Amino acid sequence: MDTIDTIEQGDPSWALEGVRGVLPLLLGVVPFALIAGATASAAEVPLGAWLFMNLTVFAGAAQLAMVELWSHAAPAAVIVITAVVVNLRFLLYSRALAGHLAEARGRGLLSYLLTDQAFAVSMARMASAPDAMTPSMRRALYLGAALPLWITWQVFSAIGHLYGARLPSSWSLDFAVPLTFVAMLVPLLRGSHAASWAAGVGGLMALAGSGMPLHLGLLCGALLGITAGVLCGDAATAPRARKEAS
Amino acid sequence: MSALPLWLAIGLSAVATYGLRAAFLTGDPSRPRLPGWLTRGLPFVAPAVLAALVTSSLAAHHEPAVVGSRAAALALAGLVAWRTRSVLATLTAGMSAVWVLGWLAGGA
Repeated sequence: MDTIDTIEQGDPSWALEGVRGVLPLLLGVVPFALIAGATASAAEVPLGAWLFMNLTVFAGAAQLAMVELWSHAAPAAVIVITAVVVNLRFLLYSRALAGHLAEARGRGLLSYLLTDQAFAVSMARMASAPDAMTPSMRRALYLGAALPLWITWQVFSAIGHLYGARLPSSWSLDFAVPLTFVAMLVPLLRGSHAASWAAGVGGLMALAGSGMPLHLGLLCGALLGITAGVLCGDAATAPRARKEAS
Repeated sequence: MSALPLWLAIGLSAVATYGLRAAFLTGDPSRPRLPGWLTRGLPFVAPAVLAALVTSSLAAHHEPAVVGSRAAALALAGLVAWRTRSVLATLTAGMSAVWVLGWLAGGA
């Protein structure tokens, strides 16, 4: 029978499990953070503003998009809307995690720490054994994944801003950024034709629209991609459902 | 653009981003809060946005050799990501490809 002692001893080991899960992902975050900081510095974003962004927005892909838009003198409204669209996936993560973390303490902090990596690591483990963990254990698992990522991001994106100019551009280190996006994108395409359509259309349209005024190409491409996914999604699920029913 | 609009844009983006993260995690989890069309579109936001970010990065370059070698490296990285499911392998393959292709193209 589970006693309170057993449950409380379980939390640290679940936290460690979270750390173990996120550790390999941190290898990709380090160059990403360094490049993000270096990009911000090259775009003449002041260090203070960059640190402010790191602490309050805390979202690499969105921060990079914001920096690039700002460096091209995009209006503030476009910057904010782009950040929101790029970060819309957090809404999905929030909804998926809510079921598991509903009774956890300090959900405000847990929300603040939400990233792709924290979501992926904790969700995989919580979804595979939903009844084996108490809310406290799930919170420990999530924090084990989320906190190392937060620390890594804060440290290396600051270092990138301070010292990034010293990295030779011939190394093409900025290429680590789109590569990280590729690594995040591919798992989403498994088993979903509609998602592949969303990505294909979104990517092509963003490329086609890259010359648009106000840098709306990214937003328009994304919106068209989402629309394509929705249109295909309805078509894709029906035949699959029929196949499963027979 | 002067500094104030930048800080304002950051602040607004931060508030909005926190709102997205906390939308379902704080408050009543069982209460449905999203309109139907948003719910249907949400699963496709990440693939569309990530793909758009990838191709937008290509558009930032103007030399055909650079664009070509990076596009090829991205395609290879995508393949590696699909087969290996490893972030490390994807990064390694992509960076190696862009270095090799860049060297072949004459150091672009």
